[in-house]
Amino acid sequence: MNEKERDTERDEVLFELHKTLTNPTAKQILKWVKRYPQFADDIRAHAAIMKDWSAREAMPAVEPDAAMLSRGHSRVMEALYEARTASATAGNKVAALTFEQIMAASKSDVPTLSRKFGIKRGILAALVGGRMLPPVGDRLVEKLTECWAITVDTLYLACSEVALDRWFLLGSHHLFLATQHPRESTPWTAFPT
Amino acid sequence: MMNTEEEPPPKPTDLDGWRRAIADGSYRAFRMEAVVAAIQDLGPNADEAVINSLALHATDRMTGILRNRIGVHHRNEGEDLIDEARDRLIQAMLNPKSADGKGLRVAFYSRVSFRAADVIRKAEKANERESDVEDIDTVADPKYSSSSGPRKDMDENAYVEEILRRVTDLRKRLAFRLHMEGVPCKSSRSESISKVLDVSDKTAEKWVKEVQAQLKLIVGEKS
Repeated sequence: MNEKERDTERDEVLFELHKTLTNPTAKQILKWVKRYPQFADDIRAHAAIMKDWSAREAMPAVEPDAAMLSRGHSRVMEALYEARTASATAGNKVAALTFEQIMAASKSDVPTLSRKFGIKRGILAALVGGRMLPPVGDRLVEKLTECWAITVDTLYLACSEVALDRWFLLGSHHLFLATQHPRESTPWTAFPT
Repeated sequence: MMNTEEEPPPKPTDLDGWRRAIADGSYRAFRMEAVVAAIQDLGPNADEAVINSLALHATDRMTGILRNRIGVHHRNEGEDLIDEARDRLIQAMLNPKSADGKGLRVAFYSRVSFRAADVIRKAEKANERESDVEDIDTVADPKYSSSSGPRKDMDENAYVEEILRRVTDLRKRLAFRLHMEGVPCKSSRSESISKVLDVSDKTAEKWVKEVQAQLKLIVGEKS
């Protein structure tokens, strides 16, 4: 057992002690120490603190002051901000997973999938090429997510990613043409199909 | 603090239910385990007004428990210890996979108490290493007291607690508390202080006598 595993087990034992008892007696402390001799010192220390709390229970409770509460508010809002930022970053990472990466990871390609599912190669090529308009058919979603072992979200994020790439690519091209040959250009804001 | 029979909390993923509970303020009466479960299952990206209100409420409850558990006799009136435990618990509350995160949704009060005890223990261990100023011979010295001297208005129990607070060795405190409960220092047949603390009979007796002597001295001075 490594140190991390030992700490985890210790925490589990002590949490159970706090859940079960509030003012442990000598008999109860001995019972816990015998059951978990590897954490004997921790059990005794926590039992001592629990007995301190119990003895002081009748005394007036100390309330947190406004500054302490306010500091807690700042900390939790900061933690929420970090969690939201981390989650947005994780979302972008998922979106960055392209069909090429998904197929490489599952060692599959369009011709193989076409044969496997009995679906026309052109349909699959349109999907991975970003030319298929959403929504993707339920049966195809089911087959692909199962075959690639990915979630529906990952599949749709890959669809958005490839469609966006295509839009940017064509959009930039049209913009380039618009700046070079204004009369011959196609409106670049139009979503390419 | 307790959930009422009439109004159970919404299911953790019932965002509309939690929106209503926040709008009418009823969320404050729900079990904290249900509040933490909602924070974790809805996730930080759910309706910010809902998650922020629930997280602030849970943090206030944590702060209240920690303040009550971690006494003002610790360094910086215990505020550093409160911050340490609270920071850890806040992070855990937002991480459903963490052990503390799971613990908070199973038994909020016990998990917060467990972490409070953990930081107290760590601090007292550090104090023991740093110096022996809290040796039993000095605990009764008025210069170490938070008050200006022996307080005549303090009842005896409070006075015992005032003295015991200054005994940083948890084992000595535990020995004396067990002694106050009538547990003998040594016994071949039943539980004894020496068995509980895994020390010799002589050591158990010495620790109890040390605390007793100081208490007698203080009570004597007081009367």
